[in-house]
Amino acid sequence: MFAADSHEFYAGNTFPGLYASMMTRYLHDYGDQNGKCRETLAQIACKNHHHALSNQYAQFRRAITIDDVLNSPKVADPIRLLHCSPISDGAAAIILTRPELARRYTDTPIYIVGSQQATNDISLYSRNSLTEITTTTITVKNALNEANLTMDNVQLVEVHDCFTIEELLFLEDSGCFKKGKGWESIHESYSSFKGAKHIPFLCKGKELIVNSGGGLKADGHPVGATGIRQIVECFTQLVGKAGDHQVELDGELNTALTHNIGGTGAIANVHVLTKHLR
Amino acid sequence: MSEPITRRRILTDYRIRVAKCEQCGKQYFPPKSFCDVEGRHSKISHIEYFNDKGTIVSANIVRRPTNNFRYLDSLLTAVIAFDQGQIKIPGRITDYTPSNQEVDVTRFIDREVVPRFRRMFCDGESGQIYYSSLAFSFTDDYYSYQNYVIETPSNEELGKPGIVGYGVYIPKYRIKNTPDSGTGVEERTLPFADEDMVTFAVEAAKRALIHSASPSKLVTKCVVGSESNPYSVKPATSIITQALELGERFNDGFFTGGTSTQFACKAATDEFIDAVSLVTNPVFTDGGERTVMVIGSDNSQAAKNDPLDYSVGAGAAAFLFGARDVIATLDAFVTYSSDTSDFWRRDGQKYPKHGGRFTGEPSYFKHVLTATRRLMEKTKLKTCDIDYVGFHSPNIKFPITVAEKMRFNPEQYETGLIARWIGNLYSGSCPTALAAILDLAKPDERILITSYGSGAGSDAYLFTITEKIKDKRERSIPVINQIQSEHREYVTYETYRKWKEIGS
Repeated sequence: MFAADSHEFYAGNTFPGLYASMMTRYLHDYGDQNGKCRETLAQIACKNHHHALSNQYAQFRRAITIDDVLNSPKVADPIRLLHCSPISDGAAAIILTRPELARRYTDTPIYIVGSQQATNDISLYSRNSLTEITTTTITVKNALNEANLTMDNVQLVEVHDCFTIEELLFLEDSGCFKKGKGWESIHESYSSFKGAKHIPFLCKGKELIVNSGGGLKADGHPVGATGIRQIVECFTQLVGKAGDHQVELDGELNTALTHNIGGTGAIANVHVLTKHLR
Repeated sequence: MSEPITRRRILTDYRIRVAKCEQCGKQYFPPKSFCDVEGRHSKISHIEYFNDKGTIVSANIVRRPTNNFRYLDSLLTAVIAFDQGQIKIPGRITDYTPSNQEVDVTRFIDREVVPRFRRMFCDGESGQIYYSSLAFSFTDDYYSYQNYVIETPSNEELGKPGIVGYGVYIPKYRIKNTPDSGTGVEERTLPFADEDMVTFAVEAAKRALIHSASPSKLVTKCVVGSESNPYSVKPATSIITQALELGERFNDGFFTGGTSTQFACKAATDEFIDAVSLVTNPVFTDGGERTVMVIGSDNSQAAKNDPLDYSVGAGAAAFLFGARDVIATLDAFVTYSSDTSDFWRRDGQKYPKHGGRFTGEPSYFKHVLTATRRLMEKTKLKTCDIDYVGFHSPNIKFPITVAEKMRFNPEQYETGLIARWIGNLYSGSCPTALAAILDLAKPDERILITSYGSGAGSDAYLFTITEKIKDKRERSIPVINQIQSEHREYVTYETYRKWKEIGS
């Protein structure tokens, strides 16, 4: 797959290669000597495959292990095949209308309370940091402000996990975890997982479900349809119609956030969805 | 890639040109005409990082290259920072072949790299070849970093012309001649997969400029002798001139001329006499000071399993000729030629053919000995008056035979017998022998060299070393150091053939 910036492309880089450079820098700046950070980036893939097991629409409904990820073919060191999402065929559709009209068409409308987009340099090398997707930081902040919410209110996120490093970066750039510390929390959450259908991450003392249907990694990545697919996933979860992979929380599921990016974060779209308007 | 895009890319990528805002200092690659911070009224200047060293910010190893880079099985790409991180650019690390095992890429972060002028890719068999300096090698590896510092010329008047600077580039990769090929050549150089005679020439000429400390803008002619030009029609010299900014720059072009010459292995030495003639010609110098760059560069061609396939090497030597701050004056010259068909390559053919045993007695020996003897007669010098001799070396036996027939002793000819370790560099052979001698020669010592080009002819030259060589010596990268570099790497015959074919 090509790199979008022509200088990156003509220097021999590829799209997975660019994310691999982000992962390299992350491992250098924040990783540990014991390989736990690398293990975490494999755990993210395993978690998303686990979430896909009960999703009837998922492309990969099979469990994978950390060893499977770490021994899969090399794509762009340090990224291996099972760190990558596939490129899928598929389509997704939603019907949009104004909130005051929504109940004419459904008894269970889901409200878009935040919708933000941001752009940045298309070239990775032009950015100030290789371990932060600035467009994610900006869009999440602005969308939550627009919704008058914080990440603490968000119970479910659909993250653009085209590569597992991207899911980790989102969780830090969105403020769920401190920069460079996210992998430690994820590692702990994954390691203490006891066998439920979803593996929540413990974020600031509360559980956060990430990519409930398997994300791009296991649900699939039909590129242009992915953003809508994420909305559909959150919609079905919020209305309680996700079937076998319905998220089960202690309280009511009310707020979800979707995060869809282009390239290596040159553009990001974030939507905040709620079941009930406040 | 279309021609207009190619031209734009040449202007940015050959010298790593960056735009800098004069107001806020922000830098942009590729260059742009306004600053994001200061707006469209910002004042933009351009800076280049071609002669600088960068630092790796991050990297990855692409295991499945795009079609353009399939000639490399896998490659290390990186984000490179210059100017203490003020600007970052994308790059490919060259002279590096990743292991098949997963590599801990984090260990590359913060390593220093130096820009290298290399091939990036080609548009098929007949399309353009794209060169760029967005290829880098590690400064702590084979190719060390040298800064290009222009020194104020001495106050001496323009005088007897000669060499003002020289540079040799031989590649990092080698192949051993085992079992013994019978040529006396024990090991040979070969191009990395992204090298060819153009990239060799740029590196050698870059080193010659650095060694001379003379401004590149004084170079008014650049001549490249080669028999492995990757283009049949398109001058290598214009690529080299653009990459090294030779001559006075004007409107993204240069007031510099030159040609790609062809006379088999003496295509470069034939131009030495032209160079010294020009730098003393007032029409050429326009009443001032001008220099001429002469380069011998070859990815020496040989068909698979041909006897030549066990003697050919790869590399280049470049000499900057001028009339001020000369390290070696050119004192005498003889050229001798005849229509002797000992070695040729027909147009459109990939490999040369040769006359086997015929290449020795009526060809090489006749021309080399005749030119050398005539030079000795002309200068009235005896063999004991010469300190070093260097001859074209298609193998080791031929130059030794000439030396012995001329009654030169091993102390005089051994220094120039570097083909034993690098093979036959064709147009670069005799020039590289001269460079190896210059690496050691002391003021007032005399050097005699005689080249040989099939077809056939020989140029014999006499040089005398000046005091200036001592001032410039610290800036040279001795040939012997390149030959013996601890970073050299040996490859298999299959890899040698594969890489040689790509760059031919």
